[in-house]
Amino acid sequence: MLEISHVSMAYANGNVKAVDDLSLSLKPGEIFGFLGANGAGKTTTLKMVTGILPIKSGNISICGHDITSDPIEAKRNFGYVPDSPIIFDKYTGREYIDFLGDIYGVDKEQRARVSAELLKRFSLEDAFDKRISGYSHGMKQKIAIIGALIHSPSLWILDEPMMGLDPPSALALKELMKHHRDEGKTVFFSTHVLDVAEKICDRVAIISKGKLVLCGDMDEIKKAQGDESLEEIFMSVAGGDSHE
Amino acid sequence: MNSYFTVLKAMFKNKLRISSEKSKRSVFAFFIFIGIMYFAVMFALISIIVELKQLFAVPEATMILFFFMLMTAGLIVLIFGIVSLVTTLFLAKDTDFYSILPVKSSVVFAAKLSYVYISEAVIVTAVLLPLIITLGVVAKAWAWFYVISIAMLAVIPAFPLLVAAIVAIPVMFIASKLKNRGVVALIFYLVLFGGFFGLYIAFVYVTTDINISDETLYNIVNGITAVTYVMFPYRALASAVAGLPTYGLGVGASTAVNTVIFFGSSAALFVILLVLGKFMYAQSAKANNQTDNSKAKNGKFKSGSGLKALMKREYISSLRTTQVAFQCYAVFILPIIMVFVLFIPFRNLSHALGDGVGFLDKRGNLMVGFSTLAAMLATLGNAASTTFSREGGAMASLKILPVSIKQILKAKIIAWLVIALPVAAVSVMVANILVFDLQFMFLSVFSLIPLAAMFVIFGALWDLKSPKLKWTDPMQAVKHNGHTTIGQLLCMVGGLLSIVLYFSLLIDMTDINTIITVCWSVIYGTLVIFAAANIYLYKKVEAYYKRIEI
Repeated sequence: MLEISHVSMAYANGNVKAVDDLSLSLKPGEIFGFLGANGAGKTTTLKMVTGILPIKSGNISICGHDITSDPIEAKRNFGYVPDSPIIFDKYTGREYIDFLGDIYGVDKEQRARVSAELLKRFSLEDAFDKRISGYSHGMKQKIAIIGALIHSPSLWILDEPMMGLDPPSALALKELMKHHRDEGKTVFFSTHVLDVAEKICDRVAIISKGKLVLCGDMDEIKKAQGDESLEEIFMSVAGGDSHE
Repeated sequence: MNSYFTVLKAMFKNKLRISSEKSKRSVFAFFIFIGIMYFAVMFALISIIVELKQLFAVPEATMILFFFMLMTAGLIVLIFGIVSLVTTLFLAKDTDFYSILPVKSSVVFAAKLSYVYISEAVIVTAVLLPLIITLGVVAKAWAWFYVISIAMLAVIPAFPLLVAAIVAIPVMFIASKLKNRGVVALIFYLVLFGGFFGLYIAFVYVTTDINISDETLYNIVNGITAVTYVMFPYRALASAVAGLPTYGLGVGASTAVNTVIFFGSSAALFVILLVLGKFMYAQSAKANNQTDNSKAKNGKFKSGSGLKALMKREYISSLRTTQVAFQCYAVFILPIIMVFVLFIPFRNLSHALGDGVGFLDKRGNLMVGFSTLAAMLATLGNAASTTFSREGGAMASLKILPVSIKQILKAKIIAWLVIALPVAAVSVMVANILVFDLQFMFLSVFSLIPLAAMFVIFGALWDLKSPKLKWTDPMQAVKHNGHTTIGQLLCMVGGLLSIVLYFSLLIDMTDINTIITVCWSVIYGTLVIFAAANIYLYKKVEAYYKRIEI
């Protein structure tokens, strides 16, 4: 589904390594949590996966399509929810979905079906025909989620998705992620909220100072670490490197 | 009082501080460009005053000229001040920020009004001071001329800003009732802008017509005199500085009375501005914090092509803020205005003189007109030249879409060609209707319209090469964007070179047919160069897009 192979990224003329020789392989039908302290390299990795940042070394492929050499096909296969609210603030929610529908070639029936279901799940029906500029942070996050799923992507990528969501919406999102997994698709998300990762992830990877320090099946990791909680495991492998 | 100065200082600091992300080269280039434009305009105006120095032996003539200088300054304050007034006071983004500070809203209002007032007074001073000194020297004015003239520079903005505040009331009211406030304000600015230049064009049309009848001339003079009475405070000031005896009084007494009239009425206007502005500020702050509880309309999904979706997105994002929209759209009327300004006098001249000779040669004039138009068409690429910079952080949302950069570029270019090409066509058509010459018609149609297209394409490609994406306010992507400014200047070079060559060769007594051939060759050469540059840049778009980091 997603293959990240020996990817590196450096800033400040190569002096600061944001991501250092990172390799990951995500399978269909799993929820994969990508964990790390602030500045560990999570967002940089996600930006390279989504094609926002160019890859300096290594390869990333999505559903068999290389993000560098075959970006259009690669991008057709994922939906992305960024950590910051979307900037299409002059659109209404519906216009935003229409825009993405036109870009991904989604027909009107699918737009109506998918958005109706998700709007209900997130209780956003009343705001759908209002301008995004009037939305709260959480509402913007919700419309971004609907936009990312409008073309039913095989891979759903989310960067800190729980930020700004109220408890019912956070619960709805977790259910949605599980539903996506149950359809045989993949969810790849970064988070600081270790409780969430522990509850819903099938596998997790922990990144520290740009390097992968731990990766594996959630249950196996816990067993190998003496049934410690994910928080304890995280603190033991990456706890002391917060940059912010 | 401390809070007042703190807020005022913060506003000026925020406005004047140069972003750390800007290269020194781009800042330097920007100031050089502004400096050259300012000195060119001042040089032209000062030259006119010096040329007309015989006229200023008569105090009435000095008074009339001074009056029109004041009117011009007042109009500049009105046109630019209204934008500043509305965006700083009434539709400001920082209203919420200031409202949570432990500072009285009246203090914030006073600081904001002072900010607008001082900014406008500085502009007035920059425009008027060199002209006042020149006028004083050539008219051998008395010392009092300089004393009142310089004192009045600080007072002049009061009247136009009051008019601006009054005019802003219906605009604000209509804007508050509509969904897209930015569009209302944009249309208003365009009408104001167009109205100002429309009046100017009408003035040029009438005053350059050599066949004008005595009766029409008499009516014009009466009209001008009437205007000076309508704007009586300005007339009073102009009379005072010219030392014109009025009201049956001597020079000294009438100067004193006129000075009191001007400063007294300005003080009264300032008080009205203060009261009115404060009321409107309170209203806008209240409106800013009102939640939109209106029921959402039940819309329907609309599907279309990806290209159309990207084009729609381009238009919507260009209307994101009123200032950005103004920068993107207002320039589109400039070539049309310039055509009227240049070709009406040429038309009148050719009616009066036939084909003419030397500097009055009909085809020579046309050559100057079309060369100027070629330079002015560069403005049609203005919006396209910031199309990627205006994306800012939204560039990330473009990059994740399954759309190639060539498709994105195509959408952006078509979006602006849809506007630029009709404007170019209308400009060329109007020029040819005003002064018809078959050869020039063919040459202009087949060079200037494609040239406009080349400028739009070049603008988008040039911006993609090095977009300015790190900004917090979209205006930062448009203003002081050194890379874009250089691109726009490059587009003007062909037309300007043609004008320079025209006059250089004319002074050298070169045959007019040779001059025209050289000038058209330069314009067609510009077209070829930009076409080649666009092909070169287009081949690199993938690389340019790839290297953009957000």
